Amino acid sequence: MFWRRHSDLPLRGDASSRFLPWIVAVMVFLAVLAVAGLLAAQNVVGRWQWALSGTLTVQVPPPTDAKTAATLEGRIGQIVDLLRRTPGIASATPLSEPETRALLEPWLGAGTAIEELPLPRLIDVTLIPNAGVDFAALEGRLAALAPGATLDDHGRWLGDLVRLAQSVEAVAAAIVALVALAAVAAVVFAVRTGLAIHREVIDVLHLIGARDSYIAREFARQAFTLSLLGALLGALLAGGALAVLQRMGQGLDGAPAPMAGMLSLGLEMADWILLATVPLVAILLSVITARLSVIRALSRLV
Amino acid sequence: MRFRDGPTVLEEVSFFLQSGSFHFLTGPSGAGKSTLLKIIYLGLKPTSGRVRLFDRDVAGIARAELPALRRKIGVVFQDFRLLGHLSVLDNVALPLRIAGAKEALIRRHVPELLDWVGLGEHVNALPATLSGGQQQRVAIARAVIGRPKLLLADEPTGNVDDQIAMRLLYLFEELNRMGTTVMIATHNQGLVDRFSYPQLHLRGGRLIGPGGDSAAA
Repeated sequence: MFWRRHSDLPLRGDASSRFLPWIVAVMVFLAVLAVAGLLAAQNVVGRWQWALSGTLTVQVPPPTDAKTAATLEGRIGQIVDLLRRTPGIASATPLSEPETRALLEPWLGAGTAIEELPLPRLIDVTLIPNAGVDFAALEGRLAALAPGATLDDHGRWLGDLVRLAQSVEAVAAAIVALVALAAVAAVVFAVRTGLAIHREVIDVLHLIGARDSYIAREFARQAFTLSLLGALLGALLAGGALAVLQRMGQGLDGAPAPMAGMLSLGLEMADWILLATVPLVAILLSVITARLSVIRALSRLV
Repeated sequence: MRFRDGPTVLEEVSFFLQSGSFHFLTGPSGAGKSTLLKIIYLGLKPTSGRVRLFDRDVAGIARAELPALRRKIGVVFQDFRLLGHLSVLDNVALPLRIAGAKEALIRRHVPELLDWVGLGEHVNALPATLSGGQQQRVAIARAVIGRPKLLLADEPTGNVDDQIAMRLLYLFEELNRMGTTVMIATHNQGLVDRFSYPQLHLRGGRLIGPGGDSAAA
């Protein structure tokens, strides 16, 4: 008690500093959610890419009249033969009509409506990894065998998904940047106010021989304490929010598998570790900002 | 020296303080004593003229070098300028802490000095709870704790009784004997007359009298 070390600057009671923990808490909360969104978007794309790479879908249009309906099964068999003979293709499995309908049931529901819909027939194709299939030639042969049949390598769909994910990433990165900027502005404001309030004490410290770095250290220490409080609070709230979202995503078991995959955060241990660095970065940012702001402001003094 | 467009505060002031000397800076209120001290302790830049401190021209000293120079100077401010949120002990320890002294050293020296200036019972007190004279002694202790090469005191005995004033001046003498150059600004001629140290006498911003002449360089 007797030798208790005090701060040489009475920054603790400053009105300008009082709101800083709350600002940092909000900033950390938003930044953690934004980074989580960014990681989730990356994970979704990764999962879909992984699931779809090395597969193709051949779509044979539904019969338009009785004649084509009668020959449909034969044509599908020919297409499957063609596919199986094509170099680079590991397997080709036609989906039956009930299997195709089952794929749509999660969206359209079971019942008579789906029974009456003219559905294309699908052939699920698995590729040999890195075999290099000539898709253009295959598409030409397919068209000759079954006019209207299409080859879908999921590229366009994946491309759209990647673009969507990239947009989400860009928005998240912009949010993180804005949040960081706002945090920096808040710290700069608090520091400048503190400098103005304690101008006389700073003068005395200077006259006694304190370097700018000594005074800056006092402000940085204060910024550390306040931003630590704010960062802990923000991280706690964000962690809670993410846990709830994660739990909600896991609770979508009854949902269609692709949709559940899209909605689930799917954050892994590495992602959580990365998220845990967000509050640390916020603390570091506020400490560095405080220090640099003070040194910059003091360097303008006589 | 002048402040903005105001009148000239100091003019044609030229003197040299021999290292290890003891001087009184005398003169009536408003003569420019405090301003002169401010210039010497690097609290003000003169609008014209040249100041040399420790064999260095102050004008040519980079801002980053000022702290090292200021640590060689102990200052007793007229208005004390104690830090109100710090205890007496922490106020006095400030120059040592700023200079990076170890706590063990601070623990040894600061209470000893506070005892010497009669404040041994007030180490944990806040300045606001002390009388003017006690605050002045804290300010003096803070100025001398770092054993400065140059000690500047602006009316250091203005708020204390004669007995304490003499005691404080003996402290300054003791420091002077240890090699510190001392300059004390005071308008208490009675106190000055009790010692035989040279005087620099300021009147109307000019250095006059035998002290000034003898110290001029």
